[in-house]
Amino acid sequence: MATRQSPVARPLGAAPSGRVEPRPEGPAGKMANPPAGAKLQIAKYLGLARSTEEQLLNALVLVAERHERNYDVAHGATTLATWSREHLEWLPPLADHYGAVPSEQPEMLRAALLGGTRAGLIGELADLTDLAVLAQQAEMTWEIVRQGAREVRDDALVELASRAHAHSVRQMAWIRTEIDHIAPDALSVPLDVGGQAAISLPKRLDAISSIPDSLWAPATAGLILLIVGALGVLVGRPWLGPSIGPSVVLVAMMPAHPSSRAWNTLVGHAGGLLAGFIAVMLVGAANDPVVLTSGILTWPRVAAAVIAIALTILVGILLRASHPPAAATTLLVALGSVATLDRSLAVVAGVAVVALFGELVRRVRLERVTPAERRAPAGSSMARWLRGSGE
Amino acid sequence: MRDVARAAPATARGGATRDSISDVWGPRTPHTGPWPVRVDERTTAEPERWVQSVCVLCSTGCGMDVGVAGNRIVGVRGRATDRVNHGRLGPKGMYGWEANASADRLTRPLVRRDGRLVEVPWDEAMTIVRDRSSRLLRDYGPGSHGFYNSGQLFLEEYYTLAAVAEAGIGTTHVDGNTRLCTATAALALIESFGTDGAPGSYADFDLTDAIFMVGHNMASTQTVLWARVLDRLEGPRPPRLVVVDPRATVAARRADVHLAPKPGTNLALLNGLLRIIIQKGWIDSDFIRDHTMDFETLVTHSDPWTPEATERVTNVRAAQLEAAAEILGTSPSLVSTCLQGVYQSLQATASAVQVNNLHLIRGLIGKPGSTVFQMNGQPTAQNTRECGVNGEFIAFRNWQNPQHVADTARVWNVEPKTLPTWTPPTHAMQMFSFAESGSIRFLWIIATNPAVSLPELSRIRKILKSDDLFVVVSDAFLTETAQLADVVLPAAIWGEKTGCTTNADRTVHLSEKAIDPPGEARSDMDALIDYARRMGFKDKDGQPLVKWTDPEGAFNSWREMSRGRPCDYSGMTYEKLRGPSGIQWPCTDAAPNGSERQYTDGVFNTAADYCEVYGHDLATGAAITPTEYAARDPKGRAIIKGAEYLPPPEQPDDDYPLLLTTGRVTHHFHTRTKTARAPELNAAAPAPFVELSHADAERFGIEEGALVEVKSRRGRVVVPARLTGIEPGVAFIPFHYGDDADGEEPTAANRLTLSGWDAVSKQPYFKYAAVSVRAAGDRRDRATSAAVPAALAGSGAERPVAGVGRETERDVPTGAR
Repeated sequence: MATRQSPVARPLGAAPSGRVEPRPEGPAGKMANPPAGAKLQIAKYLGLARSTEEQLLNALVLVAERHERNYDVAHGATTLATWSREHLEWLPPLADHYGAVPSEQPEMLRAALLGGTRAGLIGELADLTDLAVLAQQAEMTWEIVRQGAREVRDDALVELASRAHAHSVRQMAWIRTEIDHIAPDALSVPLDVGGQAAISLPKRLDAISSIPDSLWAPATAGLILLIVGALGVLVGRPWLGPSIGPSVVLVAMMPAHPSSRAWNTLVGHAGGLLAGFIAVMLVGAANDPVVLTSGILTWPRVAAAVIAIALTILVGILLRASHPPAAATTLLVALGSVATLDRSLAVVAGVAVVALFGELVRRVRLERVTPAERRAPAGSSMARWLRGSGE
Repeated sequence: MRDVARAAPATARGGATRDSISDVWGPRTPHTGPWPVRVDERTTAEPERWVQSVCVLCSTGCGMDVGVAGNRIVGVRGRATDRVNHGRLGPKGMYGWEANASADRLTRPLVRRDGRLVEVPWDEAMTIVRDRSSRLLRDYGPGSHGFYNSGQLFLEEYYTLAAVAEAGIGTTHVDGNTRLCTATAALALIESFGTDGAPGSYADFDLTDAIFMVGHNMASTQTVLWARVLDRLEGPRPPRLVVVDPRATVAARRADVHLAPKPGTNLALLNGLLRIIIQKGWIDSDFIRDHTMDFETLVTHSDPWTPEATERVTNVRAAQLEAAAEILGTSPSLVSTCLQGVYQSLQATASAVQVNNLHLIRGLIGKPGSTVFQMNGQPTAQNTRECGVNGEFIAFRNWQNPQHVADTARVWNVEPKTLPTWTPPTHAMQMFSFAESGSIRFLWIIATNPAVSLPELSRIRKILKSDDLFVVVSDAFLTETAQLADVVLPAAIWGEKTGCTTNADRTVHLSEKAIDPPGEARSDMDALIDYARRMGFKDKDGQPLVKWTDPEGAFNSWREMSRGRPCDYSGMTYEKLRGPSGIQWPCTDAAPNGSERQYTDGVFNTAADYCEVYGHDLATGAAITPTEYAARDPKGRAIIKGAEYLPPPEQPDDDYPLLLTTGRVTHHFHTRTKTARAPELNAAAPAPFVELSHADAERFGIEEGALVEVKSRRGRVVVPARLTGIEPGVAFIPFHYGDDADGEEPTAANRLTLSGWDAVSKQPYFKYAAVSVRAAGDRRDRATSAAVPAALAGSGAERPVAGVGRETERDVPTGAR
């Protein structure tokens, strides 16, 4: 179940053998054994730090790739990315000791950033500003971890947090320097719509990140709907239903948001179906008219809807599978439009196809290779350096 | 004075004291202490008069007199009294002046009409420039204007340009091709010592016990300075010599220890050297305590670089490294020099700063016989930097310091807010990027040839051709760049105008006008003043902004501008410069004869209210803020900055198995705008080639002289092969040649180079690119393959023939003058 972490996080194992360049080792100090309460709090912030660094790494690589033509930005972001990767490599011993409670918060933050058409100087400026939000989050998180580590007298954690924090500060300084360089020109250039569109077209097939949302989202959403619909026609079942729509929109427009993960799509809708049937059973609304076809709304249907929505949200939170489109599914059941096993299976089949192709689409959109990585032969010490130890 | 000095054979028909084409460095005058005089001279006819000047074909800055007959230059003679060269001249100095009389000099302005350049009167061309400039200024503001200048003009011209661009237009888009050659030298000095400017003097070569050359093939790039070193090496008490160069250059073959690191690994090597010196305790702890700060960053960053770790990354054997460290760590005095092998390779500023650190931890700076030279490539690059038309602020002032801005505004009598000081000056590569994205729409290119010299040429040429960019080119010849311009202004060059130059050891020379320029050609200062008048630039009292009309007027305004700064010219006058030549700044009322060394008291220019820049993060280039800097005010202590090694931007792989480095040959300068027009220099090195090791030649089935296609991820060239003793896995192509060398196939080295640069100095990585090679089809007997004289290939095991140096160091690949 590869859904807990963002798909872009690379496996982080032990340091590879045969690395040529001497690189900073992880912190070597003594770990402390604080009381369980403190340990759990620290574990939460270690989880937050890990997730923040994963998102920052992803964003830095995205920016490096998107703005390859501006070497200052591309190369600087690549250098900064190696630091975030280093922090992720240093974390496991401490995460093993304290535990690291997963956090979705940085992922949601990231989902709000770096979207839309980001081309030309204005695009660089917008992306750098968004990077600063994530870098700031990393800086604050390490600051908090360091303070906690000091309080529990954990030398190893103090060292890790101090070194990571120092890097975060340098990352922020670089972002500010670049913004200072670019802003005067970016703001004084009149917007040239045609030119922006021309610049934003991908120069290579592997530079998918540079396709603007305005082209990418409609095309991929349409494509997924076409696949679901075609398969449904072929097997002669109504796979294409109203539940599918919002899920497809989510995956096409907000691929970085945790809600659009395959796990969330599948579990969310399944939970919605189940919640709907339970609600209908609980209030005995099964024999009331189907609201959408009859045009008649009854109290039992209203009660079923209320319970269904509440249950769906609860399931989403408990299973870390929050997926707003699942609310449509659960209402279809609560209001009577889906009332048979046969129709339910059709919904599940359609959702499964969306989850599968949606995941493919968002991985393609999110997977990042920096320009430097593209030029590094696989297996070289350079590639190991750039890509971390998972090479 | 030795016999050679009296052998001047000048007759009515002219002649030369020596053949500097085949014997580059001339006969030896062994010495320790003062360097003996040897006067080199070459004329083609009896001069009627001699005019004081200086050689402008490298950064050494040799004083010379120019022989004139009628309105023609007929020869040159080294100035015996000059403090730099003591009478000597190198091959470029002895022959380069012939370019002045080239038949293809530009004599009338050209403007583009229906796609073709046509001759027009000066007034008409300037009207077109003014109209376009005014319109863009009105529609898009000052940021729409960019000025890309050179390391070839005179101080007075840079100073005029600074006034026009910064106080007249008010744009931050001003940079020089010095970005390609000495940006790192400037930044390395600033990061360590607070301001630009060499700490020492060439005289330190006469006294020192050891010389450390890092990526600097002095034998080829600065032939007269190398003659000075050779004279020490063959005199009593010779200094020990350590050379870092991936090629077995002329200088490397004379070294006691030659370290040949893999391209791109300078920082690893230097960290390895510094670690040994620190561990062995070969450091001056008192000097470190009293005169430096942040020594611990050096300890931290060099610590992982054990000799074994260094060997794994650099391919330099641990024993070699230790031998070099022992010389550098124990010599009682030391002169170090860096040039393009550092500046145009990876992590340039970080590496150059480590050489400064070597001197700081050993306390070997500001003392006779001990200094570090962050060398320049071009003759007047120092002036470009002093005048702030290279990316820093004028007179080594700090654009982030309001008092410094106010001082500048006062001298020009303008409001401080006129000067664009809210953002760092735009670097050259960024200027072209801004032009590409439409923010720069007017680009005036002066005395440089970016269509050959910049990396990723096809992109640069596309930008220059764009309809949205109005390009003005000032040059003496119709260069590759001028051919793409909208307006071309014919320029007067060296010998045809008066002005000052400052070399790499702060020596100022006056170069007087010897002859009239051809046709309507004018000095760049005159063109800029003309532009300023037509644009109506005014000071705050409504008077003309540019108040001077001749070079001496500009110089006198500059003396005021530089007063109180490290590069203080206030005590200098044209009259004084006409004496025994060469005066080193600072030259003030207190030091009327100039100053041989800076920092003799161990106090550096780092005080927060005096420094030129607040410094950078050497890994990312992030700027240190004024508040951060002031909080830890070094107050005159030098700043030791350790630096971490970072991965290279690309690596060799199966498709591109070799690493390419580029550089210079002895007989050419820049893009050959002048040297190709001196017949003897051109005959000595008429065409490009690729240097390969015998092992690689065998591996790829390539024969000596056969045409080879060299390909990178960005482009390809086809040139003949030269098989030498270069390290296997490394290829070398001289950068001087454009694409016109022989017609059909591309030959410009910069079609292959990376569009990448140092994070701090923004100097491009010309010495690092992954390439492939293959025999290029039929072996055609082109002039090029036959024309590479065997003597010029002497980088490898072969002995150099008759002292003809080949060369590795790249200076600036740039344009005319």
